[in-house]
Amino acid sequence: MAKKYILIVDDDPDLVETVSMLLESKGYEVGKAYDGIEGEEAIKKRRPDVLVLDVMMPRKNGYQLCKELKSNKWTSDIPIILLTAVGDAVPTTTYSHAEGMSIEAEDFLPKPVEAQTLVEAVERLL
Amino acid sequence: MNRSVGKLRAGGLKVQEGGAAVVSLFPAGSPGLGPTVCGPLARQQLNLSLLAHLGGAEDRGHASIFCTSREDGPQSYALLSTLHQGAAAFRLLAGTCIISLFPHDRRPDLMGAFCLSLSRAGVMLRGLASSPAAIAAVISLRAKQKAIAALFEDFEFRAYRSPEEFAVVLHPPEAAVREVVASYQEKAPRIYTLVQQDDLDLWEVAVSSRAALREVGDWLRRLGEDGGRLPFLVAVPQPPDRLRLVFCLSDEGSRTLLRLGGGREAGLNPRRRGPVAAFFTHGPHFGDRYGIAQVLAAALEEAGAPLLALSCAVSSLSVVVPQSLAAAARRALQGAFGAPHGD
Repeated sequence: MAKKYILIVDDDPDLVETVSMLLESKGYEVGKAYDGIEGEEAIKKRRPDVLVLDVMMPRKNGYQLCKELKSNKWTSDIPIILLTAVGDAVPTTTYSHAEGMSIEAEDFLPKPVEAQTLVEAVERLL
Repeated sequence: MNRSVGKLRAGGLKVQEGGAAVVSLFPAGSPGLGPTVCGPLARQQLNLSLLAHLGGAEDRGHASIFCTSREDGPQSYALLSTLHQGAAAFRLLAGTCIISLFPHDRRPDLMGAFCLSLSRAGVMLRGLASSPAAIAAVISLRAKQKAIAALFEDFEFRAYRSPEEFAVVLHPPEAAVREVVASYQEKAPRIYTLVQQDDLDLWEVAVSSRAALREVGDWLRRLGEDGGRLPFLVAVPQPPDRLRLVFCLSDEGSRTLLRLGGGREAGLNPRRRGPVAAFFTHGPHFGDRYGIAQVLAAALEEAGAPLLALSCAVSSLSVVVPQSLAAAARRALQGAFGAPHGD
């Protein structure tokens, strides 16, 4: 049976790497991208079983990419976990919870996020 | 990363400009990194953006290189020089920058290609650190442009196709910075992922500073041709004119290295210690706050786990301790930074 494919899109390479190590140790195949446009290109090449998407990224942010994927009939059913660093931990951001609440992602996790919490969220959507 | 039209494909580059670096060298038998370096810096609230450290051994003391902002560099140097007058050697490197390439995928050939690019550009390596994803070189700020140009000759980046496009990413409009850049205001420094690798070998070689990038790059590239993995790599200066390169390999990687002649044919004469355990964290957002390295060093010291080598770069800590003390070191890390869920 083919391994489930998880795509992680985040501009923090160490988060991507450590979460990948954990997912790979559990037998998943992991794709990595470091901004919204790279993430979009990676999805065109291979459709993920679950997409983990950071919000604050250069070039194209996670909210934009999530909206585009959910409004496209070919990608609207890809389960998406949005990593939303817009809480008390990051007072400097211009992103808002209100914007996030209008997005139809399957799950939202506040950043900083523990890798194990993220893995459990991924497994709930598989 | 994949080879594409003669170039290696990489995720991206990070450049931290406007910095300074301080090199420290303590004689054998000195107290450890915490009381000598990290503690005094933390008490003065001096923030570090990178730290590479090689612990002491019977025949030599410990050595480190750390980076700060340009303003904090002279203050850090003066503080440590005054504190340890005559008991240790320090050197201030003003006007440095950190160039990081990611992801390295623990592939020595990619790390080697990174070193060879910088070597071809004529860059002198001041220090080297690694995180779970990135390899980070400390170089002179004056060498930044030629280093970036050389990396674009050898690597292909999806987000920017030329040094000019990368310059726009490096110096974005202010509005874009406000949108994307955020610093985590954690109430206490925390780690979010803790990955442990057991039964590794710790290798150490000394190379001349001027030839370091070429020798090490070439050697790493050969090591990577057999598909070996290199999860940890730092280089710290050894005055007057050498660099100590320290890295971890699995047992299989060590066998490959020995099959290649153990580096002796390249005049490297590596020294092997083991077994060791390495810990890789995500968080606690090293660089966003002062004192993180001190929390780490103090916790390990209290646990009686000697720090054989340490790399703090990007947003991670990578720590090497003797295998026999891995359990104690893990408990110390969990206690100091909060155990990630499930640990």
